Amino acid sequence: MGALSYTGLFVLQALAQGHKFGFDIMDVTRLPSGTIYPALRRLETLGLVRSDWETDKEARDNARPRRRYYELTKAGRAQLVDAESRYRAVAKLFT
Amino acid sequence: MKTLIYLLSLLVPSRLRAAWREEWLGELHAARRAGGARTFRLALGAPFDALSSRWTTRERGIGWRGPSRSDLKLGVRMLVKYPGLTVIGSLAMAFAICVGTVVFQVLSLFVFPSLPLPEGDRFVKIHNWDVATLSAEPRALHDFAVWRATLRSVTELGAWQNLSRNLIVTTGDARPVQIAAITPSAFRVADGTPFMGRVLTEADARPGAPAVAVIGYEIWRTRFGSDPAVLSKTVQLGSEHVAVVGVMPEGFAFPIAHEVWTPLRSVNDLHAPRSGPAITVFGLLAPGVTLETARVELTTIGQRLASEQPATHARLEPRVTPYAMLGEGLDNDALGIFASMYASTVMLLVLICSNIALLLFARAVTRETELTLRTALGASRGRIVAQMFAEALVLGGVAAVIGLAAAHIALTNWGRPFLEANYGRLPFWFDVSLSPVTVLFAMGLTVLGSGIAGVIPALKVTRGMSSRLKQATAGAGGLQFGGIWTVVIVVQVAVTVAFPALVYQVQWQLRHVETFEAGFPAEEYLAARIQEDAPSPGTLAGRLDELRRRVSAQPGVAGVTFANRLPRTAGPWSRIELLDDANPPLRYVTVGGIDPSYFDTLDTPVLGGRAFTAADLAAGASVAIVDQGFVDQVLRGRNPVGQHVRFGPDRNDPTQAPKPWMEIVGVVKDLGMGAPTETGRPAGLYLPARPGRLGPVYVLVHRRADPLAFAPTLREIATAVDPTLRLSEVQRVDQVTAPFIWVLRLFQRVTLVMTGVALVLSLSGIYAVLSFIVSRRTREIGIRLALGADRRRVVTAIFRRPLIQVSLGVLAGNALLALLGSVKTEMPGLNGELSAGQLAILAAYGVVMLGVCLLACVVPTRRALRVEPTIALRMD
Repeated sequence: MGALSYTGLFVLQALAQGHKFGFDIMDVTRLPSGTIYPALRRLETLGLVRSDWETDKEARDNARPRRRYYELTKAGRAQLVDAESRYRAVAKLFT
Repeated sequence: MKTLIYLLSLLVPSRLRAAWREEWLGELHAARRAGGARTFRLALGAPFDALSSRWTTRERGIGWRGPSRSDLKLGVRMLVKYPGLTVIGSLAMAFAICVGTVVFQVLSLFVFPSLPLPEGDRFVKIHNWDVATLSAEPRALHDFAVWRATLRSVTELGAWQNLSRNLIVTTGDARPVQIAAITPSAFRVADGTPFMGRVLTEADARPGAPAVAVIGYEIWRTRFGSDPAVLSKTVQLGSEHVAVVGVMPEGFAFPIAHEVWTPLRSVNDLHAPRSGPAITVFGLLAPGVTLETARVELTTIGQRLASEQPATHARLEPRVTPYAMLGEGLDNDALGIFASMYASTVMLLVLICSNIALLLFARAVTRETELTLRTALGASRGRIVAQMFAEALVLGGVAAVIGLAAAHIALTNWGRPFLEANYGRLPFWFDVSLSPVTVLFAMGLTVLGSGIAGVIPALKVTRGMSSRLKQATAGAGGLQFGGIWTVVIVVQVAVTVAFPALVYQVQWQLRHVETFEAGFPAEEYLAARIQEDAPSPGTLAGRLDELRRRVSAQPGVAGVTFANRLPRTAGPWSRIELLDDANPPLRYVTVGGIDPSYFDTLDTPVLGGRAFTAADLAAGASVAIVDQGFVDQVLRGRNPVGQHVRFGPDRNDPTQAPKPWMEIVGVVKDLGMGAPTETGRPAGLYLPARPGRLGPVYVLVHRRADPLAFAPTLREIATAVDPTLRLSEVQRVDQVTAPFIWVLRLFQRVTLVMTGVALVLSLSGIYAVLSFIVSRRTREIGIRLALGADRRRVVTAIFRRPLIQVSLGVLAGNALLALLGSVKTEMPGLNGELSAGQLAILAAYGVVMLGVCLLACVVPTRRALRVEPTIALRMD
């Protein structure tokens, strides 16, 4: 698995914290939507993230269209741990 | 926004498209709930995500990755290196993008209307459709009560009644305003937070509640001078006094283009089916409900009503339509016209970009060595095509910026006036400024244009590159100028020849309108249309007599009269027949209903017979006066006085009893009876009529000095006579054609620019061809000159090809003109019968075009003739 970009790291961290939807991730990371959604697609292609759809009933109860939610895969969690430790190590070099 | 997502989803690979679309709709819905600015921020990412989805897919297997960053940098360098091509190419493409963008934006208002309201896509209108008369039944208060009580798929049901009343702020200051008598819930669903005071409430609509009104921001600014104490004022709406309780914010004009809102009280009364005032019903689709579901439910309710009340509802069909849809929606004819307009703009772009492709091809030829070298170093054909596409894309990018800026300026300055000149006050959702979808469309045009301009020459220049490489013939004439460029040049010259005819036609129409004589000093007359709040024909004549008496008593007023139409405006035509014709043919004439004082007030003597008198207004007095156009065309010069004329049978109902004969009692000169657009001389027939008996009422006031300055006095007097008399279209009589002239001038400017663009492109194309030929034949020309060839023969050889192309273009252009002339019957002289003079003009124009185009050949030819034979011989 290659190195993870900062964007990828932010997205994985947001997902790990329980933010499941693109718009929520955009909100919490403050990254533009043009970055978030392509990043999600890329991470899904790499198998770090998987997506699914909420149920029709849930959408109907909330009077809105169905939303697509994302969650970390096992590989995604491992990659996040690895990336966080790597970034922490790099940060130590400068402190 | 839905449309934007739909369009963007077309960029996404088809297997991912549906999911992509659904995800974005869900996300936008969530963002909308979170706040408007965040929706916009979120939506900005959609195009990137769509493109990213496509490119990500391609990375995985399809291959071509599109232009790289270095290609784009090279494209920028090319712009700087070839400034002439940059200027011509970008301006021409910018013109096409500008035209395409403007047309798309304006048509989108009709084809893809969207409401700028929260939950705008849920807004719907409900109305009854009479399937027998094929018309809407607007008296729906009874059904509104039923729908409000039973409909589940449409919520927040409301209704409004359209009214026009004089708003009288201070004594005499009366101007008509557009009022919506509306159910108070409208302010809640239409996001109507007041700028000042409050909106209407349910209590305002109850019987016995004090009369109140909410006014629009513009009315508050212009009529109340932005008075902060406006809420303590009572004003008059027609004959009713109302208290102003609120001011709406700037831009609020729900439900259509309204300026004042009052409570709709009739909604609380019981109404019999198909009775009461005409109303429009609106509502919001329930969350998650589709339009189709609402249709099904409404149809069920309609069927139940039809079985319960067959006398009134058997032929009624309740319909639910998107709120912003006009009427019953666009029919196939309208959609066909719109589609052809879209197609025309794309065709214009294709034509222009084909010419730019020609220029880029000529440039590519000069870079043949470079391209061959790149091929030798391993660049694939696709790589080189991508590079040239990138170069065209950079040129297109510059063009897009210029084109979009020009479109923005055009739409801001002329878009709204143009639509208002054609359609009157515009609905609040008609926003002519560039929408994100339109910008996307412009980007699409740019990519298409760049594709044509960049890829076609790239494919041509790289064809057979490998074999040329093997033969080491780079730069030595391996490339040929194919037939496609010849076609492009011929078409371009043909268009250049044909466009001025279009300019001529517009110019002719303009001159025709401007010189259409009113027959009297129209600039000395003030005219206004008079309407009543509640039509009462029995008393109108008396009130207008009083108006006439008071206006006539004003200093400087020489006369006052009434008519049902103004001179030089379009009006009804009628078919007539004459008594003394043995086999009476039906003829069309323009009919005007006038007060007996009409000709006196217009200072127009009766040329023969007599004028109308008050006795002619009596029932049974069937008399008419005709104008000179009628005498010359209908009576072929015979004396009209004493002749009898009557209106022909109704074409839709030939069984109708014949109309009574009318005696022609007088004849007057032509007084502008007919629309300025009519090409032939109009024939006018005047009937004596009390104001209001024959349709609209116009008052004409003769005041020699500055009649427009009299407008406030006229309003003041009309209000004093009766506050329910509304004056609109107040103007000087000579200015009635001004809006039409404005539209024609705009069209004239556009056609002039189009002609200019076509001409510049023709010249550039021919220049490019010549440069190409000369660069291919420099060695040959040098050798021929060194061997003592006659310079004239060399020049002839160079000129032959462009001469043939331009001549073919001129011929094709004239053929196109002849074709246009055979279908455009409005334009005299091009109706298939060209006069000798017009033929001479066309021939002269063809010669001028030929000369101008050949001027483009001078520079490359001179360059070729100046080549030193020794240099030419050293060339490989």
